[in-house]
Amino acid sequence: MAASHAAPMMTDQEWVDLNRRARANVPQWEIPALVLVALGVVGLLLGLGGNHRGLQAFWVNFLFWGGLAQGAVTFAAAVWLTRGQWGPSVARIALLQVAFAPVMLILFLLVIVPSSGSVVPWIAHAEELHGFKGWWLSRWFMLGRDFIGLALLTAFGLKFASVLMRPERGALAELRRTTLPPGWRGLEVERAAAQASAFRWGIAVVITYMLVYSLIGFDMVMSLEPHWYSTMFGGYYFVTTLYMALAALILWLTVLRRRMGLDGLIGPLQYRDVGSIMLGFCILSAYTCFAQYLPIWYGNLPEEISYVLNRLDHPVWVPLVKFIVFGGFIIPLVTLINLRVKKTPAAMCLIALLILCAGFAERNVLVLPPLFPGRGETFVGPSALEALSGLLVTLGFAGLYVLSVLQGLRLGVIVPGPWRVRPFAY
Amino acid sequence: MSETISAVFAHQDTAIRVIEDLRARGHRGIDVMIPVPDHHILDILPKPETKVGWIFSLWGGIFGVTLGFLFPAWAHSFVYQQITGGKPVITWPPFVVPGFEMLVLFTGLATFTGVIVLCRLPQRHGDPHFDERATEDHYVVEVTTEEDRVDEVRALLREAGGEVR
Repeated sequence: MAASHAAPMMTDQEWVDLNRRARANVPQWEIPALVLVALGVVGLLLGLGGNHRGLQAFWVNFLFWGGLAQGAVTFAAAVWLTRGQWGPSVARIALLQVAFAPVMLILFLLVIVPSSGSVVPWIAHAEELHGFKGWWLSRWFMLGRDFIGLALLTAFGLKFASVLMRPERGALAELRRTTLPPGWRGLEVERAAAQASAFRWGIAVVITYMLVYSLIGFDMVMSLEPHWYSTMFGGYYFVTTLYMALAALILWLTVLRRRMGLDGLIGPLQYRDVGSIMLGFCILSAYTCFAQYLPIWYGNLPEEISYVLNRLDHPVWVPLVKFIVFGGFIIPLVTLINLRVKKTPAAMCLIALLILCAGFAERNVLVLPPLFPGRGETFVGPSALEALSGLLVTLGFAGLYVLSVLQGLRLGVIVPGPWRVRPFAY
Repeated sequence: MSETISAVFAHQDTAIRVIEDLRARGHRGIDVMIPVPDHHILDILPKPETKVGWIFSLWGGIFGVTLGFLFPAWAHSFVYQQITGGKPVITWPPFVVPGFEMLVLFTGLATFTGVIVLCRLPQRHGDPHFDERATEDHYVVEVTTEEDRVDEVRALLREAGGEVR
């Protein structure tokens, strides 16, 4: 046992103690989170009538918060697959967000499926769609494939997490002399098996994420304007989702590392590394966005340019678009180049918060314009009640997301096995 | 007036110890020649912040992005007027692409140039303190210090077991 744990910088006992301390100090935010969830339910009920603004807010939030969790799991899988040694605990906190994935599936079945007719305009005017588009955008086919995709992604994520943590659970149980996982074959055998298995499931997670989130982008966002299409939209959607997931991960790291005694494992170097990846995704997001904008702008075709004009030539959405460009691209681009900024948790936290706000605004700007009639003076914005409903639904999702991640932290192994950890800088 | 003194050490630990002693006494001009990459030594060496970014990369980037916008704008206006889709001749969306490409190109070139210039490369005569043993199994510690501290540094290097030159 001791030989197999022979890590250069962390002993078995330190590992056990770190995990015990981390688990004991998982934030006790369940009650405030539950209150937020309750407020969200109230908001949804308030917004059910009339123009279905509550459901539209639900749609936006489903895309936003769900993306944070699924993007984080994919990031964890990518770190594992690329044998990233720079921050196993960072990747683990990302991985444990998988706990939100089943919740998303339930929400999809409970709310998205029954309410899709109230949000997606073409469902009410299906006769306007002909040929392939009519077939591809038939209601049950679309919802069915999206559900199957999300279910597969969830299943792969859960399996990947469980495979990866099994040797660690067993090793912890051996060291603490508690109950071993069923069918335990000894650490060496389990580690070898987990290595091979996690590799397969990790690949499954990454590829499924790219496919499913492209599909979600096409089906749940792009199809809101069914006559407009861009073949890059799927790529743009999953890249921006990963970008936001990294920003959310920075916030989680900042909140958890001191509180859970992980500051020896998650330090400035790890912030620098996540910051560098964020910078890469910042540029990639802008690239995928601009690569769509440029041909549309040049072509100036009525069926293409309407999508841009609905957002860029509109007094309501223009301020939001400006905020997205500055908050989601220009400010992160300029600040994240600086090494000192990337190594400063407080600064990274601010940038991450800005990116998340810009990301949330971006999801709104993608989804809402076709659902709000009129432009300029004829624009009919949300009433006070509808705005309140949207706000409450957002709070509800925030509560549910936090609740799920906390549950993931309680159930998972927070500090990976010492055979994978190279703590305290390198 | 500053002077450079060097000493050859047979062992890594003595070289590390003397570097730490020199740093503790406030010496900043320390350089080493080592037979293999060694993170222990690299970690304790003083790391003066490089000026390449501010002096070269930044200006290279500004030049590149300006060129990337101005050159196509000039070419579009005076040489090949290709009016596309009734768009204005000079406008920002199409020029973002060459602007970005030139930004990357000239930042890279300027940074490379900066490294060459600031490292004073190429050095035709090499470092006078270079010792061939540093390419085999010895460690050379090189200290640049003020004239009035030369004796102190020599004594320190000698006491640590170094072959002072």
